[in-house]
Amino acid sequence: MRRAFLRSHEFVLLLILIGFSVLVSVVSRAFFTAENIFDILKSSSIMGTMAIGVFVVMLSGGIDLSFPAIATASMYVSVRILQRFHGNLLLAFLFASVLGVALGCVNAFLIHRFKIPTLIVTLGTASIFHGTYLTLAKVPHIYSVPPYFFEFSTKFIFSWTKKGGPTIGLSTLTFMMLAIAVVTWLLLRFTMLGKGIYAIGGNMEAAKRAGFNIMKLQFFIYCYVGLLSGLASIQYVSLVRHVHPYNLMGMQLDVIAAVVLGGASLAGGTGTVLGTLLGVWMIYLIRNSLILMRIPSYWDPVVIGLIIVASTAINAYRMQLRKSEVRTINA
Amino acid sequence: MPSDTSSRKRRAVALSARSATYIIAFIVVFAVLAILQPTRFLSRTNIQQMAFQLPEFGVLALAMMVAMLSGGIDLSITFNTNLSGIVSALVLLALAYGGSVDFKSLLQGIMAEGVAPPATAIPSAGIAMLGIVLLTVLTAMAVSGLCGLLNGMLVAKVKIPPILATLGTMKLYEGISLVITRGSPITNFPKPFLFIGSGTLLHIPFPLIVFAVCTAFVSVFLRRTPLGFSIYAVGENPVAARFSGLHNESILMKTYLVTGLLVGVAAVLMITRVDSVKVGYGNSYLLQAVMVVILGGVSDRGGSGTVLGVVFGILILRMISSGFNIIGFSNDFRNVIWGSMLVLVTIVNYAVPVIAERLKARR
Amino acid sequence: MDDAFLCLENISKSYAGVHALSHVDLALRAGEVHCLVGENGSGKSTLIKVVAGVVQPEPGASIRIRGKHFTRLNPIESMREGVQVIYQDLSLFPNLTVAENIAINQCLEEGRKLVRRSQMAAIAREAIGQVGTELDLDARVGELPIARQQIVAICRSITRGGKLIIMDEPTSSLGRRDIDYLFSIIRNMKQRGLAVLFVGHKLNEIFEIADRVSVLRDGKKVWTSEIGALNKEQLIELMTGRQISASAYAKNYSTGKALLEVRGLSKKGQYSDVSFRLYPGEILGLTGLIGSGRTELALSLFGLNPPDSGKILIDGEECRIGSAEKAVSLGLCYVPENRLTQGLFMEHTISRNVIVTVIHQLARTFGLLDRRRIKSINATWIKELAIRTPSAELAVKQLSGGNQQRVVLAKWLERKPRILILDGPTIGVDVGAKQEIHEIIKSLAERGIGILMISDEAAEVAANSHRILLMKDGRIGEELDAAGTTESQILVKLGERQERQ
Repeated sequence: MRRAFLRSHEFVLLLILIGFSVLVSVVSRAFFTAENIFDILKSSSIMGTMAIGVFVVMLSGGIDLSFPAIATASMYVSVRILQRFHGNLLLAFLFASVLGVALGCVNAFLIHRFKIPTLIVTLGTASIFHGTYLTLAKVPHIYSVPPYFFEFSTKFIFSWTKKGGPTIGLSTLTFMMLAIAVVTWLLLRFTMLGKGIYAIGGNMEAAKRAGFNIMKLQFFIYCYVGLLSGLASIQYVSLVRHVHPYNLMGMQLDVIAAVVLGGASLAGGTGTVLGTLLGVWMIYLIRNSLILMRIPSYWDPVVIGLIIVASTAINAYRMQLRKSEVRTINA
Repeated sequence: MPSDTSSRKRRAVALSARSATYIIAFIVVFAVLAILQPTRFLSRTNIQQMAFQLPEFGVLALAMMVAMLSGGIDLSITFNTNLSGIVSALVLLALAYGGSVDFKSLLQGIMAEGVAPPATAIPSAGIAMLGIVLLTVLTAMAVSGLCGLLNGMLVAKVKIPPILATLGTMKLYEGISLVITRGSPITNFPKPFLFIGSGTLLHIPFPLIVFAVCTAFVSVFLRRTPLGFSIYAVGENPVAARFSGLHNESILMKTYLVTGLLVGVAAVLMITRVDSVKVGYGNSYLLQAVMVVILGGVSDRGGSGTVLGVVFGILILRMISSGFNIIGFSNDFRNVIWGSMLVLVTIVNYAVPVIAERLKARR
Repeated sequence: MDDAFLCLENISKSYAGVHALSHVDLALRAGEVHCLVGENGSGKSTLIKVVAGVVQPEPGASIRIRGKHFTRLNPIESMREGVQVIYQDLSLFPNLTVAENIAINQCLEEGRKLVRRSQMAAIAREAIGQVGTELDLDARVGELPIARQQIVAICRSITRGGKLIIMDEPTSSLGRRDIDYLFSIIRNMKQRGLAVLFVGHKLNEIFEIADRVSVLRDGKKVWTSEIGALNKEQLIELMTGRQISASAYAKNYSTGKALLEVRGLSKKGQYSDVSFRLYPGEILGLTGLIGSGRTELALSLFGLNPPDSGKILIDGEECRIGSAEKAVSLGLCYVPENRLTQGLFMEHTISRNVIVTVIHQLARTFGLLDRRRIKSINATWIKELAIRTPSAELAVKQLSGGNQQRVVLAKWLERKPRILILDGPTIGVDVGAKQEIHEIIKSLAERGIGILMISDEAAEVAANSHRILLMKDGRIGEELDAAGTTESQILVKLGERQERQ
């Protein structure tokens, strides 16, 4: 078991992560401080939450491009409602989750009922969801967000205060993401549902023959990513204190990049929650190092693009190594 | 062969059945729009506007078609358009105003904030200008072709799945464009250059001529050349293609190269129509291009599809888009409709063969 | 039959006016291995689907399982009565472990929501013990060789209380050793009182493992009996309705200069020190156990699997063959083993399939394809190879197996090869069409083409070759003269010197 881990994708990623951290800390003193590390953990928890959802989708062999739209719509609806009525954060999460699940159901319905490729469907629903939100919402941005939203992100699970300095600690946001990660891991490992998701990703035909309830599984998967997107969106509002229709919209690529970086394959059936988290942290690490090195933010897309290309190239290379030449030909 | 005539007849029937569907769809959409808004839809300005805007999208759709036929997809076409547009715009400005403007300061100006050549700049003219325009177009195609080649290499040599490869290059091209321009636009191109996208030849909009040429080229290329044939083969069954002695790697690379070259043409058409280029222009074309290609009968796995179908899809889509303009739908609502249409088109594409088979089985 | 485990009576099924099954009766006892034999289109797969509940028979049918009476079944009922089907593709999850694959069906059936690795392992261990084999519970199924995957599939079929195990062509990708092991397991299951319905077409294996055999032809059952009541020729006659005679091939070939010579060809892990000569007009049969490296060798000659060392000489000149294109340009063509995935573009027309190998030669002015030439090429081959089709514009997927194989031959023959490597040329082809393809191959040899025929079926090789090479564990074991060799001799020699792993 131990040997398997040492050879695994996750371990390699961990090594790269550590190696990269060492490199960066050499260049910039500010990197390896507790403050910075916990800050990275905090700001990456939104992408982390979403990435876990996307990972579950990719595990089943599908892909979801509509989750940023779901997140955006969810956070808008949730905040709008709570602007009018008294409420608390729990309700915020609840409303966002409900909408996220509902939109996820739409995806699930289209994918299951009509058996159309997930890439194209979610490309379409992304536009539908986002467009509907923008059309129906008279004022799509919200700047006056009830205060309990951002209070949430300022809290810590445990913390300490430097002498005369800022408070550092494990943010509630990070904790939430880690909790979701653990729940997902438990689900995948210890329930038939989880095995079913792996099964669909491994061999859909066999899963049908084995008697898995494909419809239930598909609905769960896409509702789950909808749910997580909803939760992540409230985390986001909590952090940035406003709702803006376009902020989350370009995230698809970054999140998918993180998930693929973490070891999931497009075809489905492989990958782990740990790998996904490592992938997310890797991306944030790189972004953070760019900031510390004073490289302007418009370099971000280039770097992310290079990362995606590099990581998918490495993944593809490893897959090639695994298959012997003849087996590739006889595929 | 005695059965040759019957097979020819059968093929003709099948083709005309397909074409009939396209023609009917076209007429229906046209009729609906003409009835709803006769004065504005059928107005000269509107038809002209459609005729000018359609070509840039049409060429992009053709580019996407070539990529999807090979069993892949190219998600980077829109940012490829931006990048090649930006680079060629810079080249154009450098050459056209080269005499009267310091290029270095021009570049710095671009990097600082969007650029237009200073009012004092005097562009070259005459034959020299023609040469410069030609060079600009070639530059655009060279850059887009290189981008396409990169895609091709990643897909063919490194063997990254096309979705992921072009997802990455999409970001990369966006990023490079951002680094060059910081997101600001480049505008005010010399008039002779703008002719490509805004001029008319014998009362026909020049871009439409360009589009027609591209369509003819792609059609002949796909149906009548060995490379076109090979693209269909690789899309249908890459293993069998390899076993038949075809060089999958080189075929795929050339596929994405061709896509890239077409993207370059689209880029020129785009910037010469709106007289500016900026990162993010034409982003909505990506989804529409995918939709149009699927409408044209290309399955997501490649191996089949006709140019005729895609062209009809292009026509129908642009008419609908023009209709949106007239009715005054907001951009966002349009996105809703595009998204819904994509879903609908895909459903129809997948559901129809299944229904047809069921009907056949019953008979 | 009262002690029958499964009793089918009057099973009929029609699709669109075509009778897939007509009034078929079948009976199986517990503890019996019953082989269902028939050509393609005989109704074998439909019958299996009826038993599995995937297809419903027409009214009037009677299905009795362990005394319980049904007029039709659905999959759940069928499984509840203990019917388990192991399809040819095994239906396993490559990304899950052995234990998970074995146990997952049972967990599903029991309606479990939670699973623990220890539970699954326990279920798996029990099944493995019952089957009488050994498996590594934590191995990922996708990384196991096919033979082991099959064992996993069998173990899985036991867990759900499988009492009748239906195996659909289980030996199609197995080598001799694995087949022996599989049969020992089947015998084990037999002893435990399970009934096994074995669908196959390799006559040798059927005679080896079956207790009783039923023959289907054109949807009707034409024979049931103990296996001992038949010999092979009679069985073939029943299957095809024709008398097939296999006579040794006696035509001469020139032994002057070798067309193809291979010296000391080696590739690590696949084959080593392979040397032989192929003469014009000769049919050189190459047979051996699966895993002996034959296809790998063929792919090396074809440029898709470059060897580590050794020489390949064509017409006496040494060649480096690094790509399929190069091989083809040297006159060496390869007809692959798996024509559906490797040899044909199923959705494309016959025409497009035939011209794909010469596509670059068909470009005329401006690089455009010469349509007239394409038409004449198609017409030529449809006539010469007797491809039964109304037109060249038909999609290849609509052809029968035999006709599909002819299309594959056509596409390579258009290249005017001098050396033709055929890998399993009659796999998935009906017994009747097999004969015709053999005639085609012989006529090609008579034209002077050197043919290397790789085949699993010793009978095919014995009847259609001039010389025979036996390959074992990557080495050429022996060279035989076909004239004096019988099929059983070949099988015996292949069984000799078998190293146990």
